[in-house]
Amino acid sequence: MPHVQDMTLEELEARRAEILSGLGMTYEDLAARAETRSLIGDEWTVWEEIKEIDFLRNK
Amino acid sequence: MSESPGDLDQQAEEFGRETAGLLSAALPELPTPPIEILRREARYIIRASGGKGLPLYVKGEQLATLDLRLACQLDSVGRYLAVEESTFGLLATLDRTPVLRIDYRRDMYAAPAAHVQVHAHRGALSHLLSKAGHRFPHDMSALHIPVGGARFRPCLEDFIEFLIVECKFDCQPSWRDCVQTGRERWRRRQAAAVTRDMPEEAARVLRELGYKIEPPEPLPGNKQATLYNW
Repeated sequence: MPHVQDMTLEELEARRAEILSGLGMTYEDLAARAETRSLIGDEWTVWEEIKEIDFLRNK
Repeated sequence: MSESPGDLDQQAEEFGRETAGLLSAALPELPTPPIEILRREARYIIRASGGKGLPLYVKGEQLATLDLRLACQLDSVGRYLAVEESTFGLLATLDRTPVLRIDYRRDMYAAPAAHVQVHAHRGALSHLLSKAGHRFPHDMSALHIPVGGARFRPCLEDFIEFLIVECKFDCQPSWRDCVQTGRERWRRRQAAAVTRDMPEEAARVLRELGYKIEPPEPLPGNKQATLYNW
């Protein structure tokens, strides 16, 4: 059964940088694609994970 | 009174156990456990293990992914873990993009807090939206179709039954029992929340049923926002 995994701010920010780097985009580029409903392929999953990380960062 | 982080962890893990139990009992070939819970301070993310969605099969072939994400934090009275946002999505394996989603955003006002988005195209709708001056007339998913607001929105059990019955994804033999049990649990919780939203209405109905109910002093007010927000 699932247990709570604590995340530090540093871990969240490192993960955020890692997935944006893997996509080859800045946050602003990705956000603009989401805003204009232009996300394709894996960008969807990355965008959702970025929003999760930002929720945990309280940003 | 605020809950301590330990109490919130217990609530998150209980919620996680219910969700994991439902998923494993309804859908085949899921990872164990099917979900994970991430926390920082008093904020929690409950999501599919690994964050990449759960596999959905048709006759043993993976054709899609179930995207499941819930963002939770303390509720407005500081006692219970509350869902701030949730997403139940169906993503096609073919292009790794959503086919449809049921989303909930507690603080969303410009669009319905609970809504369905269908990622599809239809010429007649694009024509209509274009004439109406819509910003994204080509994209049906730009429409947020309202589905009952915070209290009457669909639950995960509804979405799972939709995937099995309507979309014909593979299922576990006993899926219906766990879906019905979970749905009953959800609706009882929502009924309790609705009672807190409008206690006088709840008391009136109970008096009609023969219950003897005396109002407290002072009278609790209605939570107007949950009554009129879309």
